[in-house]
Amino acid sequence: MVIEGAHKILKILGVDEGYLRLKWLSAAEGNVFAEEMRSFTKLLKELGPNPLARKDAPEELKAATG
Amino acid sequence: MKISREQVDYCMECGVCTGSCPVSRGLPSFSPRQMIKRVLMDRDETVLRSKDLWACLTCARCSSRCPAQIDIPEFTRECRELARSEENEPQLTHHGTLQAISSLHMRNIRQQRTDWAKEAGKFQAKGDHLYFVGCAPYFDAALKYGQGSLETASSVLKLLNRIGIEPAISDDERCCGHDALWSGNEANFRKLASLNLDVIAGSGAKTVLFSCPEGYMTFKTEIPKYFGELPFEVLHVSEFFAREIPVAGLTFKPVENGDSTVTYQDPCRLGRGAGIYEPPRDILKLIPGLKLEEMAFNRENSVCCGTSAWIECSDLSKTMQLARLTEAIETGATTLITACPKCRIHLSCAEQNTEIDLKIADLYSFVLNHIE
Repeated sequence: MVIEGAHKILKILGVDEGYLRLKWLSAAEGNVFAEEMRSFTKLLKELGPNPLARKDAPEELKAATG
Repeated sequence: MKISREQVDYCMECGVCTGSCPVSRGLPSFSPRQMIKRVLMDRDETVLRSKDLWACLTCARCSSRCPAQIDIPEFTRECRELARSEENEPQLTHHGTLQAISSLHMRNIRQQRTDWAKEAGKFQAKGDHLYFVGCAPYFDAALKYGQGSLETASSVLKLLNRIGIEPAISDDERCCGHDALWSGNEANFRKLASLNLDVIAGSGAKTVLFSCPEGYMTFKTEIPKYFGELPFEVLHVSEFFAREIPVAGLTFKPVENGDSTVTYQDPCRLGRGAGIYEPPRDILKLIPGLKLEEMAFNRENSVCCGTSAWIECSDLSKTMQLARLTEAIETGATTLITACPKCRIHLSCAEQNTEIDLKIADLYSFVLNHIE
């Protein structure tokens, strides 16, 4: 539910939803964790830098308190 | 803003503000008059570090009655600006999601915020009329209380289409900056306003229509204070519909049994903020058989929906909301209608997990549902 909402918000903001992934993995699932990280890293490389963090953007994000 | 010595002298002998304040009623330590006294008479700088500054809803119930004509919400807003420089900041609700979205709007983003409109009706990229949709797409994604926020926007677009208007709607629209302004963050407000003014200029609009009371008041009264007179007309859709629907040749469906009595919540920003009390009522009166019963506190006496600018939602907010819902039930209404997306969300949130059985509807969806 939370991640669905966040994905929707990203989509409206024009940011690829792939940048945000939420998984619960047990400490006993090393191989699953490794595979998840590999695929996420691969995807992030394909997507490129976060468009919201571009240098042409102003610095107001720290003022996220309203 | 300037508050004269004479105004302060009158202020100290009065107290109508505190008597009128819905926050003071639930939080007796909070008093608008005491705030004025502490800041202007006592020069008490601890005010800037107090939580009281954030308790005010800026609902203007005080200032609309103030015999000394002190603009208390503006006074609070300016104190908040100073409080921030002392690192006194408000408690953000919904984990600060809405503030984060607003801050991201100051960046060089390419939004995709008109998908709903492609499904709902006809619109254009440019035109004489621009519909400034407001935060509805984000509210719809982030907040699940009652009817979805995009239903309001869709209903407004459909109604505009029914009276022959295909408005411009922009993917580049930003947060209007209302919450930033009233949270004492003028810098963010200015940045957002400036981006929006560019978007509106680019659309070629001569008239900008608002359904959200906060966006409307921000453009109608606040942005001109900082940017001067605007080169377009700022119009609330309730005014527009009250004028245009009666001459558009639309046929209304009579109300169904059990749905015939409604009451109306005046949003603070639309009513006391912008003086629009009658147009929403006039639109409802077009529906045959509909009975509009007023709550005891209506029009300029209306009570805020309990929280503002997505900050400081508290037990007191819930108390105020439940009192308002009870007041609505006491009119005999089965539906409470409001013209503000936040009133609808806050009152729907409060109604959850209670025994109260009251439909909460937004004005435009309700009206559209009663048109053939």
